[in-house]
Amino acid sequence: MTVPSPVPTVVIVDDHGLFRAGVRSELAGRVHVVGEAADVDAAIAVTLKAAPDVLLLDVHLPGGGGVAVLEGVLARRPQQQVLALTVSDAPQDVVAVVRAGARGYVEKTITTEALVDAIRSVADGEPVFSRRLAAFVLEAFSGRAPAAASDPEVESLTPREREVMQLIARGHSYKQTALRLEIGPRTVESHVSSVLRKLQLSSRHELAQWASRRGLVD
Amino acid sequence: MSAVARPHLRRLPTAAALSAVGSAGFALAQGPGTPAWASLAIVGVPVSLVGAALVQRGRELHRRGATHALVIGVLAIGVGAASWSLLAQAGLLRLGLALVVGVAGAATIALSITRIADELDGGRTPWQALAGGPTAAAASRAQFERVAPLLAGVIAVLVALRILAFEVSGSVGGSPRGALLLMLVLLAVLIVGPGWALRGLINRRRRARRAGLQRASDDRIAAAHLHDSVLQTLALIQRSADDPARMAQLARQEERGLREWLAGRTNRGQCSLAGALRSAAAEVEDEFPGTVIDVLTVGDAPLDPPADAMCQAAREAMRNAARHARTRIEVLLDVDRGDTRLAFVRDVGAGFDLASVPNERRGVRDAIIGRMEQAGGAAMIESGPEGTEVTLRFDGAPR
Repeated sequence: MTVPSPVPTVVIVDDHGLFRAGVRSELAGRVHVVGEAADVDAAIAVTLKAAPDVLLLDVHLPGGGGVAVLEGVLARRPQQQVLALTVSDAPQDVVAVVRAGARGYVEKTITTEALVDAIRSVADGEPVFSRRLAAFVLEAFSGRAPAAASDPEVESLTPREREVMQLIARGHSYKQTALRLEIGPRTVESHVSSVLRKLQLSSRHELAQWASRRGLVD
Repeated sequence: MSAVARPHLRRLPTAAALSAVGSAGFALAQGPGTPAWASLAIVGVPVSLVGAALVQRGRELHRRGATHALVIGVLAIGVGAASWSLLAQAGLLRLGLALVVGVAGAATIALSITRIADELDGGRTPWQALAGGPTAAAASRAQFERVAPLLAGVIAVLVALRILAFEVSGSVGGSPRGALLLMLVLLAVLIVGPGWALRGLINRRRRARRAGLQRASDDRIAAAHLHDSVLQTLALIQRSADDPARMAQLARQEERGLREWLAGRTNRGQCSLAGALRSAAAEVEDEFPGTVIDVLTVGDAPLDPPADAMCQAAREAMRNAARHARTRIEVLLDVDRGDTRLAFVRDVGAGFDLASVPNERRGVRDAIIGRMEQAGGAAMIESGPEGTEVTLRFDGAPR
């Protein structure tokens, strides 16, 4: 793992020019913006050229979306850390981007402080779990392992992981979560990483059930 | 009792079909005068595999139908054994073999069709939308597993028909009339089995399409209302340009409405705990302009009296947070399969010391803790310099 510079570098990818300008000014002095792009091809090119610590990536990008950028970049620069940014909180967007390799996901309504923290965490390789992602995970893995589960270990959360996810979904930080559960912050991070891995490996049946359940509920 | 299908059990229909084909080929090669043990193997293997596949399918279809499935399986094996012993005389053995192989093939075709119907139905398409499609290897493997049993079933049936036709022509001696009868039986099974499965598939797709059209039309109507509402709000915002607080409130109201629509929640109203909680949060936001309450729900529960009490208590907690904390308020509803219902209302305000709450504010605490305890639940208020969190809890299944 590369040692991150004290001021992390980012490339901002979003098709809304106003938003890019806003983020750039918000981050001035605390995070170094080394590139910008507004579409998939430019995003891949700029990211590969600038090699930033973190790629700040909008999920909804014309021409294939954030997933296309992720796949294009990770194919040639697999160590690239990605923080996904979105204005929508639709589950399909979130999950698709996380499964494609994003290290975390934050909403555009996030405060500057929280955005800088998130960028720093992702630059260090730590996953950033927003409340929403934690809630999605809880729901996706809720209930017993399904009838056709081929690997229950991968397709459900351990009780401890569930506790951690619930605390994050309630809005607690990793530090607060660690204090409450009387475990170290590193342990919290490893639980979060393992949940992220499960999300990337979990079976189609599990997520399909969850999706259709949402469809029925809606 | 939950049935956890191990991977090798899922291969059963494929195995049944392939063994039926193998048996047919072997039978063709052997001809009359096959030794008894070989005949038993040729008949027994596909029949028992088909039986096992039916049992497995039965368990997948009806969780509690394991007994039914077992009965079907035993019947299948029984029929196979009976046919074999009845037709164990030399000449008729080939007929028996052909019939059994044909029936196994027909059953496999029927199973495959219902399998494919299930795959095309509930759950797989949303999955592909969620995860951007399966990997290439998984996709082609899934394709193979879908098509192979069907193909093998068809081949088995064709081979069986060919053997029977051969017998009907009388060129081997034996009983041409018997062969003709068995051929008719096989054709009848073909019509009943796969035919019925096919009909089920067609009906299901028709129903799904009709439901889809209905949903699309409902969506269009809702969208039209929404566009209207957003346009009105944007116009209002432009007129309130010198009142930033009002602008923010209008924007927040419309944002909520749009997010609800995007999540497909517009027509639900208040009939569930999650819906009631969201409504309560919206009301508190409107009562204290400038407040933002972010509600997340995991699972849901019906709005019975305890759930209503929880909702009221949560509303009080939210109002309290809105009045004193002036920060973003985060609410989580966690319903774990209906056993335990938990609601959390959290803010990152200055916090307060519960013990030193002055008398006139005691009412608030009673409204929350008292209400929950009266309804048979529990409430906990934790407050410190890092904020306040109210936990509302009901244990045990609703009702």
